[in-house]
Amino acid sequence: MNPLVQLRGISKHFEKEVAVSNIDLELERAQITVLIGPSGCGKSTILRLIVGLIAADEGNMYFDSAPISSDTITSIRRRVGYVIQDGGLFPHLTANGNVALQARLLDRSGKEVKARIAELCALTRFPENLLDRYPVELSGGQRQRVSLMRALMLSPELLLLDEPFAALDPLVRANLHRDLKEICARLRQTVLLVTHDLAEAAKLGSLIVLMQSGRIIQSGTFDELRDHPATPFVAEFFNAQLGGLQS
Amino acid sequence: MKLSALLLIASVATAQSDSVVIGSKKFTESYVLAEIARQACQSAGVRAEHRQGMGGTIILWEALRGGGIDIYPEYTGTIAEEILKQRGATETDIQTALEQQGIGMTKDLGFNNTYALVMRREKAARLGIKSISDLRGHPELKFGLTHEFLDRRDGWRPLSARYGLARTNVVGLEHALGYAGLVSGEIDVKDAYSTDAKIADYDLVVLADDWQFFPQYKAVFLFRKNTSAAAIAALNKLTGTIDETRMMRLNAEAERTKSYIAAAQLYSGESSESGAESLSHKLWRWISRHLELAGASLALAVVVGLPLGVIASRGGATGQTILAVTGIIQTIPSLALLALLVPVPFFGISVRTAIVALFLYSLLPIVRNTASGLQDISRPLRESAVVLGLTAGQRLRRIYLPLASRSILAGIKTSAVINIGTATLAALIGAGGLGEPIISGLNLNDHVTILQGAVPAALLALLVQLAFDFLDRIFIPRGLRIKS
Repeated sequence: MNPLVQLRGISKHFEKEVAVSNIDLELERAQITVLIGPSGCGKSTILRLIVGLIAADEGNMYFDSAPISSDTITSIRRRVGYVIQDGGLFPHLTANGNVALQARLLDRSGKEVKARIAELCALTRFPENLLDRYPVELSGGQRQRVSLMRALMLSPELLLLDEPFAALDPLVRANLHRDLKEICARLRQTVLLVTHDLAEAAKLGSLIVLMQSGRIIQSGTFDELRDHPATPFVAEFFNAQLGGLQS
Repeated sequence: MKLSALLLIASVATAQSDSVVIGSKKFTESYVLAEIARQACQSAGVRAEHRQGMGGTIILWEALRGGGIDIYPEYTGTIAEEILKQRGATETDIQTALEQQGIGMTKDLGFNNTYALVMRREKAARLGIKSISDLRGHPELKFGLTHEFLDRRDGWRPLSARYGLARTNVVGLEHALGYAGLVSGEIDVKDAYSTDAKIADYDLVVLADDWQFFPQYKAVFLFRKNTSAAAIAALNKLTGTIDETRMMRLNAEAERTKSYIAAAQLYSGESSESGAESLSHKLWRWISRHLELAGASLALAVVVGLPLGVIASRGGATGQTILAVTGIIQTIPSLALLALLVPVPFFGISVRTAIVALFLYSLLPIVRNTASGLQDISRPLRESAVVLGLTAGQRLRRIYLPLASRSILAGIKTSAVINIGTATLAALIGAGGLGEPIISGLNLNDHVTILQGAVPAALLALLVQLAFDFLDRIFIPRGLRIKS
């Protein structure tokens, strides 16, 4: 099968600074692709380009073989789920209100919405009795579970995760890693995950794409990158994070 | 010209055929003369209404020309100097000039109420001051002058230039308050009308205008030429019937009884208090009108201000312009704004004009708070709304406006409270409300009357504040009100 998303020669500048340059990337279906690199390397920019929050200066992007453009972006957004670092939950809506928002605006029936939310609660291990709470009344981990439910509500073909676990404490993060991996396997979900945490990438990703200064330096499995670094930077990046674990 | 004539016919046709509206300026004598005219018209079988204490000359004159009122008392000097701007015009000159504007003038009522400078008798005697020219030797004296006198073409500037008086020690004061300042010794010299009852009351001396600076200020009635013949006849019967002493006595009666109606009745010899309104009835009338003014203008400001705020929040030249224009409106003094609106055909002196003025003043807080509330929404929340595939309208209604609701409501609350206060100014154009007792109380130096307006206005402002605290609970989503 063809890849779900294809990026061909994508470049983006902010003012005179290069954000990403000449990016070629394919997201295989039912696979978790991890974009990793130091902060400012352009990994979040790629997510923002795919959902049309910013427009590319050069290159082409395809979603399910159809070009991504300003005409198609609104319908593509409904086929994409997006989770950001602090969840991006709307504080004036309850957990339930946040999750149901999209479906309600698309006039889905109340019964259908309710059933779907119950299903998602089970899937993400979010206690149903907390659905009436507002975001401020939830813990950081609970908020990310709600955010994940909201992203999955319309059964999107693509799930974009922008450092969703960065602000959580290690124990909560480990639980969420385990649950996310299970969910994605069960749903055969295509995922693009952005992180700067190599351990997270190792645990979740089937394909790891390492970026530096707006360019893709190397992509492959965790073992390939660790054992056959393409440049000294790749080796240095691995040593910096894994060295800390071994000492 | 034809259009204004049509408008006029329309406005007359909707009113009762034989009814007149009489205006008065906000000082005792003007109230009393207008009230005398009202009673005279009533006795002649013409239904007459008295719009009390409207702003200054310009507002009354424009209202008369525009048909908002039919009659008001004026002085020949003011007509020549301020309205026609023809210094030293004779009565015939004035008649002809007014005629061209469709305005008629009665013969004079029998007294000359000229401007004068007054001092406490004992101070004037001690310094040996008898005339205005004697003031030249005393630059240390403090002048407290009304704002109108300070600005008039026959007022302070030319007067001080003619007599060579020092212009340093001068403050602008409201007329009735100026008398209080004179008596307490805070000021030494003030402008007065030569028939002011206070001159006798406080034992003040009128300084002789030894170089004949002040023009004649004979009292007359100005009326629209199309006013009913019966009303004009009734006004003509009043000419030549009031001399200086009588006018001073009528003014004193008004200030003693705190009632213009009583003073006017003293003129016509009636003593019955018919037509007097009970306090509770008056309060109800003032408060309900006040709420009508503040409420209607606020509703209008919300309907217009919210969309403007949404547009302004997007920034750019349009956004900047909206904020700049609403900001500039706020800096226009309220009396000036009223004076600008009164000559506009659709407005004139009416509740409508007051509502529009208040509406203009309430725009800024609503527009600014809506814009800043929307701008303060964080980028992640905006982007979340975009990425969820919500349309621009859905984002605004379902996400952005609820998120900005606290700021928007705070803006509306500010406007509402300011409106309750500012609505007192509506009385300056005869639109009623709680400003009516405040202004007439100020002129009569009557604290009880002032408080009858000021206390309910303050209570209303407090009530509005409380009502909005309650509205916060309804309009601000719970998720934004709870603390984590």
